[in-house]
Amino acid sequence: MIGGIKPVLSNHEAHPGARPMSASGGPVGHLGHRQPRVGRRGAGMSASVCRSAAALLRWGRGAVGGGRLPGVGVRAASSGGQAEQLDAMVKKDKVVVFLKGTPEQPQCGFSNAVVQILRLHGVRDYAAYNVLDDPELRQGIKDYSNWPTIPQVYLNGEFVGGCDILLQMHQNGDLVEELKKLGIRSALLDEKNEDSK
Amino acid sequence: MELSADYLREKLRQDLEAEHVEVEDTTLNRCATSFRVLVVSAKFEGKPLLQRHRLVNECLAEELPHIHAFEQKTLTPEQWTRERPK
Repeated sequence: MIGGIKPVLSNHEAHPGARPMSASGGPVGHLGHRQPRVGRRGAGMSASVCRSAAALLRWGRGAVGGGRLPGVGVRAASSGGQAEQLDAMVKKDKVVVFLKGTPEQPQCGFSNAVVQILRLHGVRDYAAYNVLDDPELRQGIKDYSNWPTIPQVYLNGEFVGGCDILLQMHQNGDLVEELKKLGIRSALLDEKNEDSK
Repeated sequence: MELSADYLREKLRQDLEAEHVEVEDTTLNRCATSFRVLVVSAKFEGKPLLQRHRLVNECLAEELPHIHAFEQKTLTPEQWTRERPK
């Protein structure tokens, strides 16, 4: 398997203020975004371009920034159909979100809301996929979850909902509970004296 | 199929036997056809949020592909009584 999809942990808090960069200095959302942050921005862009390319191969298409990568070719989805790939993606990490944009630069108010809620709870290690980078992903994830919009939030491999639902879960305390089930302690618990339930 | 607030409101009210529906056209905020809806229905009783939202999505299955941004709030009649602005 060519590289396979790299662990797509987003640790954006590790580099506060760091801006996502693109290999060619092009617009945000270019190559460097296909892969969520792994905390290795900076010098050595060629290395991350290679990793991004590997991640793209996973999709079998070079749909980056609107163009296809020449020479990459189409990798047949030999490891199963798209649904299976998505299934693997949402199960690989405890918290998985599909956004328009990235945690550093959300391109949509609803996606931003998801990012902010996760930040409030101190959830820093989560996988974030930018659907704007990949039209097939953008449609595929909607088909997979039978849910018409982005952002989409998955906890423990299970589709939880979009921004509305996450917000309500945040407001009524359910999100703290769900995170606890995943072994994630919400930062909000440390802010106040929580009565035991 | 129509994409007006009135149309959506009526469709939701009928399909979900809702006692109260609000549909706000938020298109101007989003530069593309967008709506925010509130649906109060006894059909939501005992259902988790995701299931409630899916009911709404199913009701508007024809329209949603043409709507760019969609926000929804789903309450049971009891929740509405508690939450509604007095």
